[in-house]
Amino acid sequence: MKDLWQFIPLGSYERLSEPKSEIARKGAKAFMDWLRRRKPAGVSVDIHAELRSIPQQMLDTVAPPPDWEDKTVALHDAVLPWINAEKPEYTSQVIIGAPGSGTRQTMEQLSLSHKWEFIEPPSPTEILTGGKEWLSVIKDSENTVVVIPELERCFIRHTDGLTLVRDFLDFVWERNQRYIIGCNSWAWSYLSRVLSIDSQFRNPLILRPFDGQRLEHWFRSMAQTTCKHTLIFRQSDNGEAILTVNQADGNKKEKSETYRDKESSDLLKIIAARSNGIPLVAWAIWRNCLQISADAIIEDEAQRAAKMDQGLTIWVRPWAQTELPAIPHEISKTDVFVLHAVLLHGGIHEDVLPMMLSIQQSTAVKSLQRLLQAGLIKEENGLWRTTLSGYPAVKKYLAAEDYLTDML
Amino acid sequence: MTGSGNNFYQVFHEFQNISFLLIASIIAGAFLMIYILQRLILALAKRVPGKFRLILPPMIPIFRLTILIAAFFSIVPLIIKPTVQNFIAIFGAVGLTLGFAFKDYFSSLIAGIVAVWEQPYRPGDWITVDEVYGEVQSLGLRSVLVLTPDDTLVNIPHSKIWNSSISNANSGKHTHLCIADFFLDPRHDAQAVRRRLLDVALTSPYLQLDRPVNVMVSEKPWGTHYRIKAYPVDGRDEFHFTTDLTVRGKSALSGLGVSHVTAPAITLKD
Repeated sequence: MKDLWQFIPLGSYERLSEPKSEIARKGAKAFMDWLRRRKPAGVSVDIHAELRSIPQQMLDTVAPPPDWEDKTVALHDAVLPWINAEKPEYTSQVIIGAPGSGTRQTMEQLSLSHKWEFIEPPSPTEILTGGKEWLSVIKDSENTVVVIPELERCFIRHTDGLTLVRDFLDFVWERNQRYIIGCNSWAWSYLSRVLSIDSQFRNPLILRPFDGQRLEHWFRSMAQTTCKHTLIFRQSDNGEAILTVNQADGNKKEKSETYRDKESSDLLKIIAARSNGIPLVAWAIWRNCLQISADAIIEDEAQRAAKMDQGLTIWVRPWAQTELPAIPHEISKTDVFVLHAVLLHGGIHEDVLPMMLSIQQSTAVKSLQRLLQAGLIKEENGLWRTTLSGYPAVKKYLAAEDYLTDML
Repeated sequence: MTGSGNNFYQVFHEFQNISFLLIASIIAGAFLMIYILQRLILALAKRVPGKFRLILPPMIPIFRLTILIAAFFSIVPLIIKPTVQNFIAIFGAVGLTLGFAFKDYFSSLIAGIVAVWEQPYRPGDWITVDEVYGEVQSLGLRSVLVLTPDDTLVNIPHSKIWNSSISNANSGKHTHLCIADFFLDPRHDAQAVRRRLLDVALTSPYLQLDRPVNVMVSEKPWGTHYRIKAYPVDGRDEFHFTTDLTVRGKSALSGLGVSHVTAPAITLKD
């Protein structure tokens, strides 16, 4: 038995790799595309979800949105020895989270349950004017533990945008209070290069990446909480059972924070590798795989395998047929800068972009619209963020073009 | 006279025994192969990710040279009887004649071969030869084609490598050092200005963050000279990058109340 949610030191983080069969398939496909002078898949976004065979409600039942309860417990367990230590080695604990790893939500839940001071990030205007008031809130806090959940939103990549985070880091260094600082993995990379934050905080923790086994258990435990039927997820081409959610076990459900070692299917291994082991990204891809088009052909072999199923069969699209957002062929330099800025800050206000990138407001808006059309970004509460299913393509592209990416 | 004339003709195969069709086929085949390989490599270079785009094009001149040498040595035995004496005689005579007539041309060809092997420049490199600065577009056998920042194509013969110094800014790498200059009135807080210019560089979206960033300061008779030295992510963005640094640098400096020195002062050379 192993813990499903585990926080590990950043230095122990290991990247997941795809199964060899998938690497070979991708290589062969790239070669064939090249021979046919066909460019790799461009914009292919699932914007017609309503045409899919699974209605949204059903999708939310078989692959529901996650809650972060178990992750919060894991984070609590990870920081507890440090919180309880009388004289800890360091006064600040950094928690690094990749986009879509739910770090903010977890830290918020943890703060609420322990009544720790939870400090929302400053506004862009506050950042650009030095943010003295925001800093004074932290300075004046008498709580034993102060939680700053989003360091990535405490600076702006602008000439005036680094002063506040510099002052904050200097201040934290000098104080004896306990600080739990959440930081996006992309911002961590940037601030490590620009402000050497990695030498100031030498012990950051990060969520252990979700491999195929972890994903299998996680998807099963989430489905068990919302679905009353036995579910068998089968691949639509060969009928392979990817995942079985057995409601007979529902009442004596496994504790969701633990799971057994068991070989997972190749599809889940591919999802794990493609999502970089980031839970929410993997979850978004998984949901995408469940959205088989209404007129999709289920192979005879798969139908024969499903005949014996004692429960509801859910067809899963094979990986080769998965449609995830891709980088448009004619992507402009501004688009690339916007994507990079969005990731670096874990989401960005539209108004900040012209100032950051020295471009016109209209240029920024057009760029955002292009990226929105491509399914790579979306707006949430006034912030533009990369979509979960578009994140792998964006990261791969930026890395290939030699832009700074996160270290994961 | 007649004897030496006979000796000369003995070097060659009988005219009717020379297969001109085969020679033409070899020449056509060689140029076809060069054309296909060139297209293939350039197409491949466009498809690979940005950071690998400079690896493939430098192979073109190597392949071209190899194919031309192979074609040449395939054709020569079809015309000349392949003995050592014959080769020495014919190459000596042809070399002497052409050497005088096309000395510079052949010097460039030889230099072209040296340039292929020594690689003082490759396609994608940013070079300066005799005050011409630009990006190497392609390497011919005789000359190198350079595209200047003013969008002018300049043909520079390879023979320049014999007697001119060639500066190569990136030498096959994806990026190269760029410099933005600021000439300021000396009455200011140099620490604050340097810090500010460092932030200007660190926040540029063009910046390659894995390479060092420096702000160098030197005092001149006319004022203080600041130089931001940094690398862009993509070397092709050199001018956008330095423009971005200059524009944002000027804006940041005006916030500090620092004034720039004006042209009459700068004309007093270092």
